Amino acid sequence: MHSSLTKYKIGLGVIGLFTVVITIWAVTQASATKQDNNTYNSANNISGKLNNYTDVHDIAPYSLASIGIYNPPSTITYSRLSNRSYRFCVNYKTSSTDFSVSSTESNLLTSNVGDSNSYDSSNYSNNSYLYIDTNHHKGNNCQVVDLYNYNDQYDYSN
Amino acid sequence: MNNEQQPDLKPVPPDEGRLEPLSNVNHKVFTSDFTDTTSQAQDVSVIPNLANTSAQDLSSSDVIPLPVVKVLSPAGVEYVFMTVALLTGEFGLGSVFIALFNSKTSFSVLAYPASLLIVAIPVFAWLFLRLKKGELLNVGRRFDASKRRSTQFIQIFNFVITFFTTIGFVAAIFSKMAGQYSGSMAKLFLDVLVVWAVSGGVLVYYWLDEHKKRI
Repeated sequence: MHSSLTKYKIGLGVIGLFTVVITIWAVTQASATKQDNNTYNSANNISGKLNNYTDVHDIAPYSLASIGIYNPPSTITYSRLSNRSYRFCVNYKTSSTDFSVSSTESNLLTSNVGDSNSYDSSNYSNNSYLYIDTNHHKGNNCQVVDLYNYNDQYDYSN
Repeated sequence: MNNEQQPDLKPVPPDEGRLEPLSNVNHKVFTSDFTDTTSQAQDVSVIPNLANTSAQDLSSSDVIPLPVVKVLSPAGVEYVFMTVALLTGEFGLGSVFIALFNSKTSFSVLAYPASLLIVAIPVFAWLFLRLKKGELLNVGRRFDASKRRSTQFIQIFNFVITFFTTIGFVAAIFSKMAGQYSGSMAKLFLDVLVVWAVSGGVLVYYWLDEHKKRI
């Protein structure tokens, strides 16, 4: 009887070992994901203050400290390029993904494998306003913001 | 028990077969083992064929009692548990492989499949080995109706998954031919291969197990 069960024990042991490896891998990824979440939340908070400041003063701040942000995370960098433009960079440890295993499986099951017209956030091109996208790639994600000049568009002098 | 009343099992002439008003019919309440639960006659219109028939008469007649309440055997309950763990583990294992084949190794992708595996695999392994050991010790358990119901459900479920995944793959090939799908066919084939291997593997195992017992 033991010999009959041995092959099952070996098979289940292999699957169990695979489970352990995947679990360890997922746990090691957790800290990076947590840091990225904190980075995103901070960047989102800073972007709100930056946009408010530029809306009111119509000028890029000299530093983050000048708008009351004294200890930004090391993963966020701000550099003033001119009076009306600045670069804002956010460094992530991992790439975000909209990949879903369950949707992949359900798409296969329902023969729904054609291309969808999904919105690609990487094509976001509004540079007059700082926008922190939830979709990001690993490493530095930089935006150059050129403040929108209403006087360039509309001549109110007349 | 009322032994004075005889079971009416003979063919009933057409004019005697018409329904009588309930007030004229002497019905009794019987449980599944046909024991009379009441000493007094009660109206039970849902079992008219048992009207005017006592428990003793029924047990001595040619009437074959049909089970009204179906319950699983003790081992059958464990087979249901094992089925749930198996299907959950299948989904987790397939999800992990599909994620890996698509080069998606981030925490957000692997967290849920890993959770499925962590819980489902130990539970399935324990139940599978326990039940398999029981089958080896007691051959009759392999023919347990509750067990077969679970394993047949596993086969049907996995057949449906494999069948429709194959249809999806063929549809994807057609979409690719028509230029409606720009994704990688190699990755899609690997996804399908995972489903065939995991779901199809379980189907083949229980298919062979089912046919082995008929020899």
